[in-house]
Amino acid sequence: MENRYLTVSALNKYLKLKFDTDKFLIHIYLKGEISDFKISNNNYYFSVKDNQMRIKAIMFDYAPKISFQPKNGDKVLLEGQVTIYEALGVYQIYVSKMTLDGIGEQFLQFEQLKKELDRRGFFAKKRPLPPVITHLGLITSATGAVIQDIINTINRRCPLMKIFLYPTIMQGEKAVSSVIKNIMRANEDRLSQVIIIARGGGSFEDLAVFNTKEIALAVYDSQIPVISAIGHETDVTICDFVADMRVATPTVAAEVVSRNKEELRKRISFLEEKIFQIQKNIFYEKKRKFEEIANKLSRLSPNEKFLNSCYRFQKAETTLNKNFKSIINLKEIMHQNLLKILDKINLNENIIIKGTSLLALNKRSFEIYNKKITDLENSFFISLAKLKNLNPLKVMERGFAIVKHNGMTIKSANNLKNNDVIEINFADGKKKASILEE
Amino acid sequence: MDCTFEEALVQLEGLVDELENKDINLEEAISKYNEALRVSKICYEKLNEAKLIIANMEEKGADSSDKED
Repeated sequence: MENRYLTVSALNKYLKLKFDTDKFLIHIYLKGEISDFKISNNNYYFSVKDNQMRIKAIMFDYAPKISFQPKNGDKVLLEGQVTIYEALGVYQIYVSKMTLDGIGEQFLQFEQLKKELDRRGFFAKKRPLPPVITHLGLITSATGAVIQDIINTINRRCPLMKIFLYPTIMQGEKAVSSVIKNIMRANEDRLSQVIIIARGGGSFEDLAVFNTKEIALAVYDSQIPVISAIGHETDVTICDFVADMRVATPTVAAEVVSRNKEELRKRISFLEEKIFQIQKNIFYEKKRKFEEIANKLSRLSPNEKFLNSCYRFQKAETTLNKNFKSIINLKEIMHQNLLKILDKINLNENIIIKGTSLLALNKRSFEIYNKKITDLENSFFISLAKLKNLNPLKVMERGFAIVKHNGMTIKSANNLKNNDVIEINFADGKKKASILEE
Repeated sequence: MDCTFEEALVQLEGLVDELENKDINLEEAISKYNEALRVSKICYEKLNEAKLIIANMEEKGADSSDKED
């Protein structure tokens, strides 16, 4: 009975023998579409599929055998052997030859939808992200690497950001409705400034969810700007085109929304520096203005005015003294002259005494002095009137005449001879005469 | 007197204008000049004060930017 149970190895070896001895499976021709394409150690690993089914495929040491770079969605023609991989008990086609068979059917559909949406303007709605993002809506799977990458990146760069996670099915049949529902919820909640739709890398089929018209419409209708971060850098989906921004990976999406913090910081630094410079400029302008005035002030010291006043005062004083002295001198000279004249003509003592007392007058008292002088002048004129009476001409008016010969006044008759011509001077004129006899 | 720098400066400008008038008499000139020196001192003190504050801010600014990151 025991012998009826085979080991797995025995079964797999048996099946492998069956495959390997089937003359049809040893060399078959197969056509299909590449998906789940991977390269590892110079080997291609992928699936070949049609609309309903798939088979695993492997192509060892592909380099010499192939003339193009295969990728997901490529329709290909294959030659090879179908056999069992004993270790896993899976059958697969070991490809020996691969050529392109036109563009893959799904890819064609993708291109058609893309064209249609582009024509309808779905790709033209690119809203700028808010300058500062503090509230982020996140549409992605609640588990897995993507959510972790995003949260880590944001925590590192902008830990204060609030993240509203809408756990979403990102793969399979339910994915489309789940994504659409959460886009609508985020819009109803109005908690987020930006929505990120994120999904990790996957096959063209895995990402096909994001090539549906339904999701494209939901993204287009979102009132909140959407960042699409689907798959790896080389993956492009319709969702990417419709979104306000497309980024290569979920991590980049996290960087984009938190990059604003760096910009904000730079902006603040810039403004700080600017404010500081402006303030400095204001200060220097005020300082300059003040220094200008202060300089002016220093030139306006009353010292000069004081010195000038001193000079003017001294000059006036000197002039005053000089004038005063000259007046006094003049008066003194007049006085001396008067005295001399009076002396000469024997003025009476009274006058002399007056004159002498005048000399003794205090010279500092100009007014008194002046009065004395005036008095003296009056006395002088009185004296002069007296003198006038003593004038010889006055004597002649009484009938006397002066006789002159050759210009000499003749005081004696003996001084004249016969025929001398004499000049007789009268008070009112003169006549000539000659001497008749002795 | 508690006034702003600008007020003091305007006052100083006024005094300088008056001092520039050639007809001003000596007593007035001395009195205005003394007043001008006093106001000028106020201006100077206020400028120094501002300078200190700015220098302080510059230091603080440098400090805070060091602390960043």
